[in-house]
Amino acid sequence: MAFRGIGYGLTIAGLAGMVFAAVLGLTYAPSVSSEAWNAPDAYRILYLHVPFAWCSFLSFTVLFYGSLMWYLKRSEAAWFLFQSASDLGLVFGLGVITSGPIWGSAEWGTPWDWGDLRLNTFALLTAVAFFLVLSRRAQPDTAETRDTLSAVGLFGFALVPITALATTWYQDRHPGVLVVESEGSGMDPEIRTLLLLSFAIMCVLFAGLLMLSNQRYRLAAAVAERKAELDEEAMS
Amino acid sequence: MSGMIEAYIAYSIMFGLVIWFSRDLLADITSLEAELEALSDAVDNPSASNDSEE
Repeated sequence: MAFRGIGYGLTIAGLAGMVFAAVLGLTYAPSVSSEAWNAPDAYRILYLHVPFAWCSFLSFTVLFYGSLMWYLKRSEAAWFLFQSASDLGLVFGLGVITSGPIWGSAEWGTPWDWGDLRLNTFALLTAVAFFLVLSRRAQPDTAETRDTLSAVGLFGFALVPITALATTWYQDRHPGVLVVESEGSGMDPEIRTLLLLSFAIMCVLFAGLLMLSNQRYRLAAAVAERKAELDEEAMS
Repeated sequence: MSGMIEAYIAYSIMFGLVIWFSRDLLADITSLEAELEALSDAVDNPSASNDSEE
């Protein structure tokens, strides 16, 4: 119960923090040169878009851990993590692949570039999360189903470093790594600080949602177990 | 075109996603807790639940 209380607290704090980050991004964040950018104000999308992308990477890291622990220990707790992480991967991934093309339309004049490695591997990563969520709901919850989906979860994690480093290896249209390499990129330190603050806030929200989601799947498992007990009693 | 409208649209979508997901989570937790409590009552006191069914 205390665990659930922390989950509620972190989620509410994270949502309030997200409002704060949005207000900072839309009003306080410095303007960028209208000569260097085609749609200078559209860059403000990045204050939520980038933390969303990092949180989706976090989701896939948790998904990897859940998949691995399911294989190694057959633990229910690992399967709860797997389910929560695939849901969160989908939510944050959808946020990225909808906000990104909105920025792309304004800045590049096109919402998508099928030749850009970062865009396409990230879309594939979100598609993996979508596949996992749909499959979990469509398939019977057996050990075999869990094994198959965990294998996909492990594969999905392999896309994280490929997506994260795509702009370093092969930069086409998507901007390169700016926050880590900001000294060399000429990024305004204020913009960098705001991005990191927004990411810290999003991590709080991510932790809260992960705890609540785990609680949901734990409760669902307890309900299923109790129903099975009652069925058994009724049959005997 | 400065892109401010696009920024508002993108923020609305991202907020919508996390708010929808949080609401869905909270609603599920509340209904599962109620269901678990009802099932626990049925396990602890089967005769009472049979009476109420009749």
